[in-house]
Amino acid sequence: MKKIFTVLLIFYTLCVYAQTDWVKWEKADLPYSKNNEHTKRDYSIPGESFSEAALKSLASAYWFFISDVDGENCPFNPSCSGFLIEAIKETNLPQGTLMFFDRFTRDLNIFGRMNHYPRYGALHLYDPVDLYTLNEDKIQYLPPTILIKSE
Amino acid sequence: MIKLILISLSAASFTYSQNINSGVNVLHQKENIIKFADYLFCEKDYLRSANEYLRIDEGLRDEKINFKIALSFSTIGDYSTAKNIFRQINESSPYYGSSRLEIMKIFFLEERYHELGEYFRTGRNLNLSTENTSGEKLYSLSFLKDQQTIPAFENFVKAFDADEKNEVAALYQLKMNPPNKNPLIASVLSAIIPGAGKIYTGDIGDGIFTFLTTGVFTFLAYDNFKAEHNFRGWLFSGLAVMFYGGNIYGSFASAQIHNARIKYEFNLQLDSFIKLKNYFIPQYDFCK
Repeated sequence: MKKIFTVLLIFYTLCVYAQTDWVKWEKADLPYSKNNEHTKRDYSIPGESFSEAALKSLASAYWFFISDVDGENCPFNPSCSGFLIEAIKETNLPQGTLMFFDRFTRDLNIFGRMNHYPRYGALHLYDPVDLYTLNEDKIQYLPPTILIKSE
Repeated sequence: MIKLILISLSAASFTYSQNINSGVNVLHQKENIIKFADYLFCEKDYLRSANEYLRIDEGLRDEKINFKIALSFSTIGDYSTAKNIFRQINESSPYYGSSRLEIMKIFFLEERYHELGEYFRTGRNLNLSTENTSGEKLYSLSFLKDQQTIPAFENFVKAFDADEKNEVAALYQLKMNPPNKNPLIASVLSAIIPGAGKIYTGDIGDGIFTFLTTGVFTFLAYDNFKAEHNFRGWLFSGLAVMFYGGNIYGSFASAQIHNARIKYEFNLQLDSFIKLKNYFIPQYDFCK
């Protein structure tokens, strides 16, 4: 009887000891609130050139008063306003503006998008600035079948 | 007493199994290591297979083992180690020709086409007829990957068998005459009719929407000027001009992207053909 008790005690202790990782099975404390995109925005104003500063102010105002209130509706990544800023940074003000107007017409086209652009995350289509700078070395074609993982 | 014997046996068994001295444990003798490494090789567990083969003393390894080690490293993408081992294979070895082909394959995969060409040319005069033919095929196809001058069609296809010639000829034609679009033509077309350049490059939807957007803003500008709403007239004129300019610019970019897509699809087609042909390397019979 004493032996059986000892064996059972050792066995029970081992079982309890082996199960000490119960923490990972507990309910996860997940946040269910929607991400506030505006908190991720970069509202800083660059001091490199007047045109860039003016344009960034305009884009920031658009984000603050329109985009963040309206929600994330642009189907592309980068969004059209983000595209404009990136385009001007990559090229210059006139070229960047032309790139933006071209992007805007592409944004209006609601047909066949899914077969034309690769996916970016679950909700967006990937349309980077590099494809439109007219520098052939920068063009890296990505087929629409691939998925770009969002950050 | 029985307990003591059992404990001794158990301890001896553990000690024996953990002993890697081939003098004590036959499982670690050369023949058994090769058997296990061969098994791993045929199971496509190349990393562990190479590690097992490498456990055999270098002096005791024959050319076949060295070849399989290099092949394992090549398969898992460790090209530099693989090349070093392939290069050590002796010219008199039956694996010499295959190792040359494997080195050429590695150059191809590393996109070092110039070195591939030089390597092929240095071994052209060796008495390796099968390997030379296979090597020449890979060498010829490397021209389609590289920007260098492509040989004339007759010289290009002569190394290929009859059943390969049609596909190779199609690839050659696609390389020489890709269905590219001229960015300047696209821009000029868009300057004449907004959106026409995009339709020319195959972006029909974008072209139609460009036409509509530019058209609507132009009409709004005209209508407002007509109604003497000059401010709105100028505003819509400005927007129409910007959309028009963006459309010309975008058509140029669209043609460039179209051409990049053609190049991408061509490389995809070429790669799949070469992979299907196993880089023109004959199948080995190591796992039969």
